Amino acid sequence: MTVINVDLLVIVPLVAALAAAVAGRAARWVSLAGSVATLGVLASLAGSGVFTGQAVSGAAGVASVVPFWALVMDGLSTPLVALTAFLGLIAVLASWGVSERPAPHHALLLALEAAVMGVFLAEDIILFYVFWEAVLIPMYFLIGVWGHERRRHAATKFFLYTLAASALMLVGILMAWFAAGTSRIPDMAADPSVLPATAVFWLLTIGMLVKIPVVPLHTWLPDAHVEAPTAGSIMLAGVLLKMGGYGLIRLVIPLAPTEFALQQPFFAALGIIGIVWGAAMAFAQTDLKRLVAYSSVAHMGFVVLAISTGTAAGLSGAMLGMVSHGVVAALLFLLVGQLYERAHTREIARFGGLGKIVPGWASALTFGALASLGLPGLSGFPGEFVAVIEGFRSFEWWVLPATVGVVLGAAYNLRAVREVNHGPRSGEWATLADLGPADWVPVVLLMVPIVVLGVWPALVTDIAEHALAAIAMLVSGGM
Amino acid sequence: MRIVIPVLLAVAGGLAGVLTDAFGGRRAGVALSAIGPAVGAGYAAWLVYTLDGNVIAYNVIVGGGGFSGIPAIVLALAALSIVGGWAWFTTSPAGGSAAALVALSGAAAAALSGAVDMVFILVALECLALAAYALVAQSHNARADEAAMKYVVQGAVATSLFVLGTAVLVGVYGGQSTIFAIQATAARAEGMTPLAGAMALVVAAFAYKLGGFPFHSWAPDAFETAPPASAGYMAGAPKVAAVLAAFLVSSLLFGATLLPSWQLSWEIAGISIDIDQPRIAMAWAVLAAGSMIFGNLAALRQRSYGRMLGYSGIAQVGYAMIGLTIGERVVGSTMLLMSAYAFAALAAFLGAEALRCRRPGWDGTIDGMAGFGRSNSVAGLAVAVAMFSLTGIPLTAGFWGKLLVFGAAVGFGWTWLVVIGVLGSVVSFGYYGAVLRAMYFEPAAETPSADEIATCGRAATWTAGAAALAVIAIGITPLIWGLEFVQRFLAFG
Repeated sequence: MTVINVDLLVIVPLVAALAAAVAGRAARWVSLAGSVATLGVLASLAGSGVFTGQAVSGAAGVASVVPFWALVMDGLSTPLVALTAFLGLIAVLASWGVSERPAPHHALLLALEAAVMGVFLAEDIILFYVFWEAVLIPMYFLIGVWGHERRRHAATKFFLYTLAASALMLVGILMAWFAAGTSRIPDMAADPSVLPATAVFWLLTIGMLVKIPVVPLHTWLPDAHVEAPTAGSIMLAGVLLKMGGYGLIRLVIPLAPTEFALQQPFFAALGIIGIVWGAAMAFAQTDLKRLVAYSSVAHMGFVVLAISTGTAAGLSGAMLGMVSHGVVAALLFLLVGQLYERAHTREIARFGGLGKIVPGWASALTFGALASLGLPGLSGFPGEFVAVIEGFRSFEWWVLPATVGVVLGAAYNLRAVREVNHGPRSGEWATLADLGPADWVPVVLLMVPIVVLGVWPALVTDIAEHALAAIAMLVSGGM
Repeated sequence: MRIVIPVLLAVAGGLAGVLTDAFGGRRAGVALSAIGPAVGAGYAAWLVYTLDGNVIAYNVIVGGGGFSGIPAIVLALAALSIVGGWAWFTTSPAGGSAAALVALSGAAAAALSGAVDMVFILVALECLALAAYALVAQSHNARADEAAMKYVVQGAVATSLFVLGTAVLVGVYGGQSTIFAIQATAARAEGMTPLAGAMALVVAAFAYKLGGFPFHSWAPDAFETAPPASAGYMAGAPKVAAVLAAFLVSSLLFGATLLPSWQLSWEIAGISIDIDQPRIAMAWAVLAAGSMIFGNLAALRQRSYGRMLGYSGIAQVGYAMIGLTIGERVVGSTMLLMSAYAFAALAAFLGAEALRCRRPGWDGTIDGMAGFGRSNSVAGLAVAVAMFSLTGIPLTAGFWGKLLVFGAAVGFGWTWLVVIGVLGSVVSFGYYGAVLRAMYFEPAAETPSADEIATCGRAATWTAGAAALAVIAIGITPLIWGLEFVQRFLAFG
């Protein structure tokens, strides 16, 4: 067994959150230390083989006398855990300059990181639900206290919307728990035939679909993303949405494989609607942050389409899509946040010619937009390419509308770049300051995985391969 | 006989408190009123771990296990609310006797938890009610008088229903008032009309006492007008005890073995509906559904914090009634739910006490709490924890209560009640969340001077903090150590 165990991935950020809460002015240093330490824990797990897809349990999970606390890190969770740890650090760097009540802000960020880690690591369905709901609390306060003008409305809508979905999910979880007589996910999945499949499937699916979110259950997302502070948007788009996709793969398919197999076209339709609707809405936005928010709906649509295929390759595409969107959306929200800090507006129409005024920022935006539109060689491409290819294999010409979404994706991203970076220089921004060294740190950190995953997607897919192949077997019925 | 000692300690504390107060020792009197139930709670908690199984004393009261655990909880609530209301109890004109009333009411609640004699239950319920009437009237204004009068009149109706039900049970089934004696005679009796009639009367009486829909209309007025420290006690402890009594009575006297199931089947538009459930379960199920729906929707419309908590209490009792619907198999889980509610309600009301102290001009509305979380962080956090726990969000005690009760209900085929319950919980965040929103998302109206912060509302603040800490501790520890600790405290053999 390894010396440093999986439990620390939850405990370290949690302890750091408590420390940051009482650290006063030093909170940002505490939270930086906490998020770096979490990454350190992750790195130290390398020796146990998690990065080759091996499953490693937390200490309490091994003892197995504990009723609920059971954590496991396997091929399915490792990529998302790594994403969470990484974006946790980025979120801390992005909120380095927060001046209003920084201690609770940093504490909530780290608490959020701990809760999301718990979601991705839980091996027990009750523990999963506990973390799933616990995520809402810090996010609610982050949006409500540190958000922009309509933060109160956005925070309440976010909380109520996702609480409603997860309340229904809880009913499904309770039904599965009672029918299976155990709350350990692998034990429940060992014999899904004893579960009330239809009810469990739909109740869990609703919870996941709102979180992802799919059209038409997405209306909380633009508000929450736009009103959240930059670090909140990064975590929200980067990791919180992934909880939905992860839940579909981790819970819905294993607990109700036959029901899922029946409903594959339903998921595909939702995915395609999301792709087209999200892209079309993004194209219509006049607010840069809202544009990025709607682009999330489109990208998550590709993830849902990829999951709907139920094949090993499709699920790998979904995993890649989630990790890639995590870093790309984080970069775009970070850049929009940096622009807003300087210009105090996000109206696309008011900008122009920023390429000349703030060349550093503008080139970073161009890079982010290219990654978002799925330029080959950057991380957005492989996942969405696989989604469409696998979608075509499963559903043939029905996926054609998704390609419209791809074209629209190029259109809205390039339009944003053209109107903000190029065109006539607008006089009111002549004195805008370009990115300073401290601003560059998180930007560059985010660019690295975008390039690396673009040229070497196997980095993610190799880890997840075995776990996803097993799940794909469930869907095809070849137990 | 040890099991009645906690009750006696609380009574002694209350009597000593009122006597000391009568001779001018206000602070000492209030302190004695708090010490009595506190020591009683400690002793009862000790009994939980030292008594093996359940024991019966004087043929009227059961102790041991959860039957000592619940007295420990209600007495602790009484002691905490006296400590938390220290500023009010020591300064208000009738504060000394009010503190004694809380102690005596705690004793009555402790006696009610585990009472197995119909007449004894009646007396305990009446003691609780009498203390509550007086506590509601403590604010000495026209609204408080009106609320107290309303409460007295409605309480009298409830009492008469309970008396009638008891009369039927005692008169028809052998002339003895012990539940076990009535049960034994009823099992041999032919026909079930008297028993079914008694069930209707007794269940309605309990629904009144618990403030469940449609017998709820006294509750919001009472909680709004009572001084927050005593409202915090009244909202929780008496209901905890009454739910346990309702469990004993309904499962021992009106259970499925004595009263056969209610069978109905009819067809509407081709869909056939079959009901085959014990009568008592159907009765509680209807009350539960009504309380959850009405309480949550009515609370949503409230502007006043106290009234909001009053209406939300109706919904909370509705969740507990799901437990009553299932029956004796979920006593422990339901008592966890009620205890979690009681501690959260205490924290919520004491937080309000701290706020009133900080902002004497507070009009009692939720909007008037703007920025409170920023200006008094401990009391604000306590109220926030209470709101999350009352909603049933994980990491709080309220989550486990709801999870276990709802989970059992799904298992025993009451999924439709669970759906109402979880949707009601979502709706409830509409009003509990409004409190969080006001406290944290809105700027503070005024900043009090440093002196005021130093002294005013300190007891209320820290007691609310302690209650909230208990809620969090019970919320988190089961994740790691399981629910054994809780189950031991709430084991009903």
